[in-house]
Amino acid sequence: MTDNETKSKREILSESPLFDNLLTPERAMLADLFSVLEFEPGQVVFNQGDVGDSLYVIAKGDVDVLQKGTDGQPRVVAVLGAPQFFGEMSLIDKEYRSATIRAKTQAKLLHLTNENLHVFAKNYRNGFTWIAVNIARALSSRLRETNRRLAEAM
Amino acid sequence: MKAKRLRDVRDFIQSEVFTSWFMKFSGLRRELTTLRERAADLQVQARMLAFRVEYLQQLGDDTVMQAGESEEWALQSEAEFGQIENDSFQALSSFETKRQEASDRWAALGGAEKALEDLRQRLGEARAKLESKSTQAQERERLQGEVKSLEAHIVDAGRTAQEARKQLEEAESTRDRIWLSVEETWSDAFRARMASAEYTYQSRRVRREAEQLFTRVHNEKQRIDEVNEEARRAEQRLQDVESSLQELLDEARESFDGVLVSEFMYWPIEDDVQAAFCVPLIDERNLLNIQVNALQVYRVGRERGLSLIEPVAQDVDSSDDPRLGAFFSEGRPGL
Repeated sequence: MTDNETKSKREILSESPLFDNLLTPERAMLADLFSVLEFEPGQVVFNQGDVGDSLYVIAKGDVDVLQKGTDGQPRVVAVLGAPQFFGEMSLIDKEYRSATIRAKTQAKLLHLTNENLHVFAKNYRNGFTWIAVNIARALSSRLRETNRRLAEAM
Repeated sequence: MKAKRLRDVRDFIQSEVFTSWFMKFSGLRRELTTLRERAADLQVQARMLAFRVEYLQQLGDDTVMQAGESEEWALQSEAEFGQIENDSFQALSSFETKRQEASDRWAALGGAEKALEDLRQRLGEARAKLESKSTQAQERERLQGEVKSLEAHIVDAGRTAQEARKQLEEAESTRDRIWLSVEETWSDAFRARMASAEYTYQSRRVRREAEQLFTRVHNEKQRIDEVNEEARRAEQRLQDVESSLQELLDEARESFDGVLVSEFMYWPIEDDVQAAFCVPLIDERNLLNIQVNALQVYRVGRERGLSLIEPVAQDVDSSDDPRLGAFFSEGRPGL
């Protein structure tokens, strides 16, 4: 990992709404706590039903979000690209992964484990609070969107 | 060992004495990695060559046996040719006898047919005279006796000619059958002769192949010796570099005021009895909880060490953090 990669990680994190309102030293530590992972097209990041305790931020490329239908066959329900994130639900509730994530193109992902988030929380309590607030906002936004669609469908 | 502040550690790793040491350390480690790969590669090469030599040797042995078999077939074909040739002479002799016999039979048939023809001619003349009005009674009586006699002779001569024809046909049939046998024998002899020559050629070719295989075996064995020698030199160089690296580490352990195991350095933190500073001497991307860079300062617990390695946090004055206040009093920044 070069200094340029570290800098690049900081820039990607600064573009993600998940890390809004973080101070520069907080982002600097987060950049060190994130690992860079690379995936080939078609390679699975994780499967629906896996135990999850980490989140991913897309640095480059696109990923498919797949969920199993009533017939048990996985279907693409969304495509995510940089600087979107996924996996944050498991970081909060420690539950099983609700979807499968598969690289659609060559993809570079930043990966933060629960253990490393704990390191961040120990060092930057307020920064951790903002990450939690930002995750809550993302989840809230998705819930509102789901409710809106449900109301439209009814 | 004295506990350190972050600034002390950063100053140390930027000092000339450390950077000079680290240059040597990195160089030796790079060389070590290259030499280990080279030594492993040479061992693999030597084993593959040994396997190939074993295979070629076996193939050469099999080929020599195959050449022997071809030589054996050539000898068998030659012996077969001799036997067939002998048989053909005997068959030819039998044919010649039968050919002569058929010729004699043909002459005998010719004689019998000529005698029959003469008798028939005489019978015709006798009958003509008998039927002539000018023939006297006494003469007529003699002619009648002659006609009867000739008719009896003609019957006998006919039987003789028929017997001669039958004997001629039998002799010709036997002669032709023997001739076919002669031709078959000659054909067999031709095949045996050609086979003998071709098997001789094959045995030469296969023996040449075996010689080439044994030459390759010889060359590959030489190559094994060369590779083994190269592997021995690489192994020697590897031991030298390992020894130099060990000396360099021992030197660092004695002169640097910190703990150095082999790839990470540690110093107790001055104002934290639970923690230590950690400086990796290598890059590690996969096996720790974070991806670490060489010569960057990290923090570890004194109990857990590398089990959990953390970036060093920069100080932030959290007592005067306006963000939460703003969140509750001034509304929320949008996503």
